Amino acid sequence: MSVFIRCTKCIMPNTRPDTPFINGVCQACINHDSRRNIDWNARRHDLEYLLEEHDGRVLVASSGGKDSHAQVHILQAMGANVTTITAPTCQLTRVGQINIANLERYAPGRRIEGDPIVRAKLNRLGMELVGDISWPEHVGIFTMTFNEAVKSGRLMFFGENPQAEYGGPAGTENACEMTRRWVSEFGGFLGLRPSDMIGRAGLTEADMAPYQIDPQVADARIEAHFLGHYIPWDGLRNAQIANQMGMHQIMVSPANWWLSENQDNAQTGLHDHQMYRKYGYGRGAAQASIDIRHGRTTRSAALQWAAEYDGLFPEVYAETPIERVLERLEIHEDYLFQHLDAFTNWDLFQGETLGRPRLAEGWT
Amino acid sequence: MSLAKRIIPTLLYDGAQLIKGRRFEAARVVGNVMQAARIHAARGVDELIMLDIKAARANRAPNYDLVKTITDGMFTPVTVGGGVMTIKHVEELFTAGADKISVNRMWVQTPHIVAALARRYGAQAIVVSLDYRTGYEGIARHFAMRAEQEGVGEVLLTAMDREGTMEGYDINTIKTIASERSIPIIAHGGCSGPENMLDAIQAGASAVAAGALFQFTDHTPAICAAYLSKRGIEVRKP
Repeated sequence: MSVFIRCTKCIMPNTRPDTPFINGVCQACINHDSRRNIDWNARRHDLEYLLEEHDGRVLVASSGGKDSHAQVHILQAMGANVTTITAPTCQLTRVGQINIANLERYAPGRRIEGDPIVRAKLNRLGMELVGDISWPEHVGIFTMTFNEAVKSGRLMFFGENPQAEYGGPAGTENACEMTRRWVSEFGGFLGLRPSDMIGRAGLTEADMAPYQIDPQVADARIEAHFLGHYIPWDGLRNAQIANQMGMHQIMVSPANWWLSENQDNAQTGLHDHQMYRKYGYGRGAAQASIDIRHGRTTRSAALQWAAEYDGLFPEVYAETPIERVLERLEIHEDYLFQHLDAFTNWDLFQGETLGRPRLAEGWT
Repeated sequence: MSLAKRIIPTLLYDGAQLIKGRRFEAARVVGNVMQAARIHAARGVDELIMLDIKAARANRAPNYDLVKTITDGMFTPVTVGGGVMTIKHVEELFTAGADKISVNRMWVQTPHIVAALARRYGAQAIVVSLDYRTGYEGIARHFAMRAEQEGVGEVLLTAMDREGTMEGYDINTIKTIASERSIPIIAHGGCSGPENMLDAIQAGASAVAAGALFQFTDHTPAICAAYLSKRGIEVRKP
């Protein structure tokens, strides 16, 4: 029987994977509080040293979103010569396209072209096997960009260290470099490996090659660092920087607390809904929790919002009706709900309202 | 002809949450147990071991509904354990879809009942789970002897101090017990990769079980099976 307890400081629940609680407080809040003890000047100095080591030539793994814009801005302000590498999203939205082009006004970009038919098959398999439609996107972010980096440089940046920002096993919040071991454990695989897909739905070894780290990468000694290790990370500040740079923003879904996030993939709403069904929280709760930590909202306001909106089913997400997502995957609504139900943690819910299971009494 | 050696993923769970432990202490939520079960079923693994790690401590019955949901439509043989204390628990788990039942405390407290269950359902349906700390290998040897005498099917031998570490099986203890007993031994706790599986099999294990290895690394049961097969170990190709 699962027990659902929210952090006493923010609204993240203990059901979130890799989020230990200490005396009722989640690891993400503990990490946030300990930020004040970090010598950020020393870390910035480390970053300057790193840039110098690589003659200022850096790659940024980009989605064209707020964090990518901010990374380009921060690194260019430090004198770096930045090239972006953009991995394909599962179903690129209109606003996502505009923002990728916008970022390329500031830094030259390399766009990785994925095979959309392969991607749609992987979306379906992700839904069937691990209850995660976005499995290929999350895996691709870490593998496709590494493989592309081999052609263009040696120093690459990703945004925040997710374990520092959202919580993870103690000690992992201090990681500055994304190693192959890190990718295997935290890279969104959920225990499902790209090699498992070969032979399913007609997928071949060649189809899956972009989703596996090329052996050349190890030889090329690509260094991938979290920029959030060197510069204090703040999604909202990043959004402000991005907006000043001309990034477009739309309200992607009422289930999001923030405006400017995950605007580039029409399937993200479904991914977030799947997460809500598995763990009892959606993307909005995670965003609101960050704002609580930064003192921009209160826990009670966030709780009230979550009761109404967190985890809502995405009838429309980033201007895309759910029907268009289902068409892309060549599936029917019945099939979708069969797989949504299979991965729902029913211990957490009691009844259903507005197309989402309702958290059980006392666990809201 | 010798029996093929088995590669068995282990899933630890609490409710629907997939848990990874480390030395039986830090229990870390790493996902949803259905995810892992479906992955391994799709892989066509030899068997799956599912252990509810909090049931015994919370003194609650096994989660039959969850076992039923997971095993529904699954062809992979599943061993279920955790919180199994009574004959009713065993019966309900078989009804829910378990193919084998793993007993731990029940074995220590009421071995005669476990022996009776092995006679009723067949030795192959009952697995005795022996968890031991470093320095207490003698107790594991004693209980393995008792398991063999009572006609139980096999022993899941777990080195608690290695569990979740991926630092390697306790090869010496596997070797000692396997040389003393004819009851099949499933090596468990600390598997570091296919080479380590080979070591355990060469030490006498009939099967090799792993949890963290399959959750956190690129090793899959198929990759491990291919490695063992190349080295002359008879395994079933997933």
